[in-house]
Amino acid sequence: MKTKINITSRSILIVFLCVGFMSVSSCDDDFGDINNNYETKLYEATAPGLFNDLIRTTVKIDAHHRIPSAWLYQWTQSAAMYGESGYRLDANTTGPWKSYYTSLANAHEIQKLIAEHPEAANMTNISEMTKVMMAYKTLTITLLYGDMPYSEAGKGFEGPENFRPSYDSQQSVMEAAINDLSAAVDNLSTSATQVSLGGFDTLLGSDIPMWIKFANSLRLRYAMTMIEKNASFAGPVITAALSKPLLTAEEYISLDPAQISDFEINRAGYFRGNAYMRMGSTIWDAMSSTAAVDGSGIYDLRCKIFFEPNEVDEWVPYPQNPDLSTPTVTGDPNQPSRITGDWNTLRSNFAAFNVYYTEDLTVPQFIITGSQISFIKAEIYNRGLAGVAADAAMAEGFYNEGITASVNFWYTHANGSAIWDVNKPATPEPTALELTTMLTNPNVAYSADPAMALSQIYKQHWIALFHQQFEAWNLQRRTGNATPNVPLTTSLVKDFNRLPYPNSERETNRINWQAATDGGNDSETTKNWMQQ
Amino acid sequence: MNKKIHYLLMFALLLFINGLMAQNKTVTGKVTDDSGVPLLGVNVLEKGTSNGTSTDFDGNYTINVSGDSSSLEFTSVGYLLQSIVVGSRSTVNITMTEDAEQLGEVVLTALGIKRQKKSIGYAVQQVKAADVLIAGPVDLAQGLQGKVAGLNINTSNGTSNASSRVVIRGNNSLFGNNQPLIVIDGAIVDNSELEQGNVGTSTESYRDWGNYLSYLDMSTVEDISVLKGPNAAALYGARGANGVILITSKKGMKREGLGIQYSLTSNYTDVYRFTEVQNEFGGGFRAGLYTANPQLPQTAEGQAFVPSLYGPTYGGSTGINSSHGDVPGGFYTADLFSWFGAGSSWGPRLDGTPALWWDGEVRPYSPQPNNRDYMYRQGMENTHNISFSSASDLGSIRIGLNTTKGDAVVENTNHKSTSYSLGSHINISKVFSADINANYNQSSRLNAPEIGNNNSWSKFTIYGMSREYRGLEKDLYFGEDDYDGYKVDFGGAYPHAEYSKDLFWHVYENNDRLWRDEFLGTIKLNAEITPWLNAFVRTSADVIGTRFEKTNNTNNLNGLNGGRFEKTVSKDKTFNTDIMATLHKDNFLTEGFNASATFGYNDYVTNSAGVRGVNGSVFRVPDIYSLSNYVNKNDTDAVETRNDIQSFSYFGLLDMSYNNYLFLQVTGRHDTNSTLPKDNNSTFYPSMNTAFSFTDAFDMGNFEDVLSYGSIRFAWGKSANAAPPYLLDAVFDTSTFGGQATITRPTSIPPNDLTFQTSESKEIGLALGFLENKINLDFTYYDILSENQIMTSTVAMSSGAEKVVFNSGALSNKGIEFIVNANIIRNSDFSWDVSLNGAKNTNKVIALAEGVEEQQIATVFGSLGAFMKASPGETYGTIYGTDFELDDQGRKQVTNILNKDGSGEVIGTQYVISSDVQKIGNAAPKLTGGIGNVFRYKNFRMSALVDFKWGGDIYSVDHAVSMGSGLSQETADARNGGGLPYTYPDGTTDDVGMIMEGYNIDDGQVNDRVIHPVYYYGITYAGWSHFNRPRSLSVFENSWAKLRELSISYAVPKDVLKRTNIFKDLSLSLVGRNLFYIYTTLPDQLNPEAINGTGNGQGLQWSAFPSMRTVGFSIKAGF
Repeated sequence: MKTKINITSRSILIVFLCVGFMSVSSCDDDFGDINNNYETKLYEATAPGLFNDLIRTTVKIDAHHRIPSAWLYQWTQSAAMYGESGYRLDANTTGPWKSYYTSLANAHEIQKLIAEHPEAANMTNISEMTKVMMAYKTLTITLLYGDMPYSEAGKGFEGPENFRPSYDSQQSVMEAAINDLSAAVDNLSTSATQVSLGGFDTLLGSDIPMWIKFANSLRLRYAMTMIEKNASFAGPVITAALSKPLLTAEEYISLDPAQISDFEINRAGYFRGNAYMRMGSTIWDAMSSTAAVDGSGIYDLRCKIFFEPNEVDEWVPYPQNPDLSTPTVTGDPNQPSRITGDWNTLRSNFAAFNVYYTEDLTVPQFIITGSQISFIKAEIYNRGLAGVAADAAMAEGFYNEGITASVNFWYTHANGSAIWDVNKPATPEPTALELTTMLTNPNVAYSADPAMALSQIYKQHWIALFHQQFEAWNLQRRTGNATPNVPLTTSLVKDFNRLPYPNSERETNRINWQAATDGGNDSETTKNWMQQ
Repeated sequence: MNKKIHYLLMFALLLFINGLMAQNKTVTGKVTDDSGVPLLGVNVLEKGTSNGTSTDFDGNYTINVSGDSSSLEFTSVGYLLQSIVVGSRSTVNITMTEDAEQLGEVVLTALGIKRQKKSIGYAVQQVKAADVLIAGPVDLAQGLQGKVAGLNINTSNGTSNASSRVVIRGNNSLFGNNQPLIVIDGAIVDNSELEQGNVGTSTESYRDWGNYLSYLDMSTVEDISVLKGPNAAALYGARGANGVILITSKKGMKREGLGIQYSLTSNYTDVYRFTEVQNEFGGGFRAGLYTANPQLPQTAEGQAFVPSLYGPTYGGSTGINSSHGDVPGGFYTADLFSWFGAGSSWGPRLDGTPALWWDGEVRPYSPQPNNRDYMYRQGMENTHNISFSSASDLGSIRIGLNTTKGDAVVENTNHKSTSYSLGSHINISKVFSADINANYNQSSRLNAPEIGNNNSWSKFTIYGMSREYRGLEKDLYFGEDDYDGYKVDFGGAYPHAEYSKDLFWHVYENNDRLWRDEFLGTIKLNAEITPWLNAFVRTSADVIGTRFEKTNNTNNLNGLNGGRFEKTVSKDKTFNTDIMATLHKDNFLTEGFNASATFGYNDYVTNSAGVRGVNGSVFRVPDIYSLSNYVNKNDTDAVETRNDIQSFSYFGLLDMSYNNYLFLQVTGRHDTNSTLPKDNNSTFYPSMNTAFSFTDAFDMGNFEDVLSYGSIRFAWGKSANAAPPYLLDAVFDTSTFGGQATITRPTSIPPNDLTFQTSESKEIGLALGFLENKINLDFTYYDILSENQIMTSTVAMSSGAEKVVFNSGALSNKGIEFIVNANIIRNSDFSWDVSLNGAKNTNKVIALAEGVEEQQIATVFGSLGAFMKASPGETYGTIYGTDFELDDQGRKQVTNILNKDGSGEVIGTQYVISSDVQKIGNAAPKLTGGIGNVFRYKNFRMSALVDFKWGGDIYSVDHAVSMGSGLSQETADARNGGGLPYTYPDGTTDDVGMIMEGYNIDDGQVNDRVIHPVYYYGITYAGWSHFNRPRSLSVFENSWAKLRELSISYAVPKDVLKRTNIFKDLSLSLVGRNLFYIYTTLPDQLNPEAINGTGNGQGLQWSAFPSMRTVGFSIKAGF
């Protein structure tokens, strides 16, 4: 028997139908764009953006600054350490590694995008510029760590078979990267048909002739780095490089806050806190002809730019090998308050890094300088390398050119710096007399004895690399410690030849890591392949 | 689902109603409990006949009776029998009273349905809030500890209101959240830690701002039902795979008098159990290697002074003036002993020598046994609660107000909370009724202690505090200036280095404040459409607003430098709506066969949005903490967070029972979720469970005197879990450089073909009651396979990425749970009840992503310390570290340390250690559980709960540090003689020599080289070392039993109260929590419950707080 729906039931039905309709309206199995990423991310990459990231990630960060202040300045003897920084080396080896391999993955993506592009033929320059940047990064990393994943590396996004790349020998990595540079020198083209990166090339503003000089100068530098170990490969590269455009002495490739918008380089924190450094006795001996604390013996025009005297205006270096008679170090000179407030406070009883040098946010980060090219040429002509006959006059010319360019740069920079005040160089460049006085100082003047002259080249090359500690370390290692040094007996840094691999390699790439480290012997004391 | 189908469903509903059949004289009614909550499954029998029915999930029933003289009997397990003569009424509503002897037999199940426990084919355990809160827990999670089998609750290392990790039956996810879903009156809430902490992610350094349960107003909770495993959760879909905790709020009930209840609870917390340390030797490391009687270094003027970690501190000083430095044999300390901290106490004997302290004062160099107490105080928490409760024919109402104010045991740390609650049931009409619950909670916290880093007192006490430490800094760190003070530099002579030079400034001057406001509301509209059809709509909203501010005082004289201000504002909203309709038919097809079918729809939306502004710049104006008070815009930042998820589901349940002894439930649910690819974002999963009460089915004869009740149950079910949002696309990160955009690969490789992760669960259970149910036993075995797990694994960075997210992992959990309840004595004056619960779970990793061999779960100091990882085939929770490299005869190998001068002099020995890591332990416990005893004598009631954990290892960094840096008593004993004769480099001798047990590979014989204790301990043990060390030496089985709760209460007799004419009831209680360990296997009084955070790395211990215990009292009064 059927019955009528009563009023109550009707009202119930209405209520539930309403709710049902409400829920139907939300029953959209598409959900719209709710799950789209909301951050500033892209679904598709473009070559210019990826390329500019290769430049961005060339900027040194964290470990790149920490390693010099906690280890390298002491080891290269460009300064002296009076206290253990307390930083763990293995806590500082991940940053450069990670940055490099992210860039490598991005570089693979650029090459893939170009290969897939209908106008690939007109994108040779972008492809080659990418290879130049990656060659620079690769060579930097292999000179830090030694053998490294390379041929199989940076391809994790392409599939799980690439999650654990094997290691390539440092020699093969260096050769491959240098070959890329050689190819770039040959293939970079000023043809108008080539697609330009325009402003996305934040390094050189798409100046192709400059890119050619850059690539050619890099291959010269790195071929020299391996000349002692593999002359048969390096020799022809050097010969070829000398025949192509190289950076002139005054030119340099850098990340320059003056050229790049919204960019500054803040290294200041790495010179204070747990950084216990002062001007060291080794570099002092390379810049002053006497130990006179009044500075009367200083002949190197960069000395008062890199360093400042102690609290009583005396040039007292901290000994590279302190002993119990060495006074306790006082002061904390690399503080910003000395610039914003009273310059005289917090000064030390030892000569220190110039607070303007450490606090200046506008000092360029050099990638390669013409001055270094001059010193390399000087070395080639001094030694007679790669088919070039030894020629003292040529060597001396390049030697003086290298010193002059370095001195001029620092004079110009300090003079033009907005923060520099006390003891600021009076002129944008040293006077001719000042320069001549320096170049003719018996300690600087190019020696007639080729062996002595070679050590002078190394010394001046080393001083010119004061702001490029990784390069100074490369020079020290490849020359078998021919850069200025005293035997370190009580040093806080010992046997510093390479960076151990990041801990993560041991954890995530164990089999390959073990093979690369002789069963797990991953130490900073193991020599880098290019070391003598 | 498409809209047409939806309309069809509604139309079908209409047809069913049209088909309503007329009945003969019918009696209908509703059965509720004391608080007005409808009861499901109450048996309604016409007395003297076999004519019967049972109530539906809204407590309604309909029965045809023979006439007005008929009597109805209402029975339900857990309730007293009610018998009513029908008379002329056609509606008979009944309120059932709980039978105290059968408590807990009706339980709340998925979607809020109350069911007889014996009808359920899976494990579910219900606990009354009164039992959870009996000993004044800080939060609900801590109150649940030890009370539910298989519910593992670990409160993380920290102060008493730290987050608790809640896990039911082990981990379903390797890296992700393993905590169960929490449902409060139908509202779904998230128990994740507040994002201001990093509790789940870091074992080395974190802060704990609590998780959801830390903020829940416990006073509103009526009971808690724990649904274990995916079976129980099959109807909660996406997020129920880790089990469900159902919380039911209190509702109004009729009370005598004014219906007002007031309670005051005061708790006092103290630290009481520090790790044991020696008190005989002070700070230093090297001095003891040179001479038998090391002395403090002296200034040029000959004044002894306290050495520092890295010297030198006084010009021209003599002696060994720093812990790090050169040691005999030409080594630097770090070459042999790595980076021990300033706490190393291998220094001179604390003999009272007048010594120059770092602040310029001369003090005796003497033992300071209480120096770790310096930053602790007595914590205190007061809670006031007042509620009003009433009920009438119109419904019931409860209004509550709760305030809590507490100071932590750590200084400058406190919390406050106020909440207002409403619980009501409204009878709108004969057909409609509504339940409305609302809670507004306002909380604030000042600071949460930092743990594990250089600003943390707990790290300092183990790593930075040498034994002569005097605690002078609190009065010295702050300098007066025109603003709000500047930070005083403790100077170069400060011996504790970076471990405490900023700590005090940080603790007192860098303040973090959290304000949290939450509104949680549920409205449920019930409709009894026909006697056999009813429905409800329930919708809930949980809205949480959080404001978090970090104000770091400027630390410079000018009031401008060194400060920082951060402000985070976020809002989280979760809406959950269920619509359900149930058709119910008794004696369907055949006599005794009851069936019901339920159809439902669920809609779930959660969205969070937050903005964080950072001002890390030098300030423009002193003393103003504002995002706009900056000089350099480059030092400011803004970050946005968002989290949006939506899902909707259709589900159905089919319940069948036969003669009230055989039960079957079949369920199905279809989910569609927004976080998965649009063409693959829905899934269906079924479950079934059955229960068979064999003692009801068969005549047990005389055996029934022993076995009063027996039931066996079986369940099988699947459930599915969707992915977190924003995982779908292989996106590129962007940035800018030089005024141009940059693009880069992200650090994570995205998953391929993202799909639901699924769990399949099987369980079998047995419930037995002996001796008229005086002893009850419940046993469950389960087997859960979780597949297509969405996990994150690390890959070699040289691949170009750091990690890969994949959707192919598999984990299995198998285990048992048991519960024993016994009424040992029960008479009118005295009763003694005992309950025991226990659980064991084995969790295995079956598969990871292709190309990934292993997955790190947690580390402490990276692979150089110890870490936990999972590999396919392994038990989850394995701890790894480097260890002894044994020779082929299984002996430890020892090698000599030679003087660097090339003389061949042996200056020490050390063990040969593996270069690769080995398994050194496993954190998974063998058994966890609790034993509760309740004694009642007249108006006194005493309850005691002991909870325990048997098995499961930890690697204790605290132990390794303590041994390596000469803090542990064992190292002092070694220095106090009784060893072998040992000659120091200066020719002095002492009986302190030790021999490393093992085979000396350099000497070619069993090792007999006598070495100094510093070589023995300093090299072998180390917490933070860049060398491989035998980590197994600091791995310990961590078994313990603890008196978790003790309470004694007295209820003032009613006849006494009557005379006051004020109180309707009054009770007084003394409570104690975490009182002491009855048993622990850890050495040196290491804290057994001090794992950092609520993450999955539960086998790594570092930077432990001391144990804390709480005593308090409470007064409860009714007016």
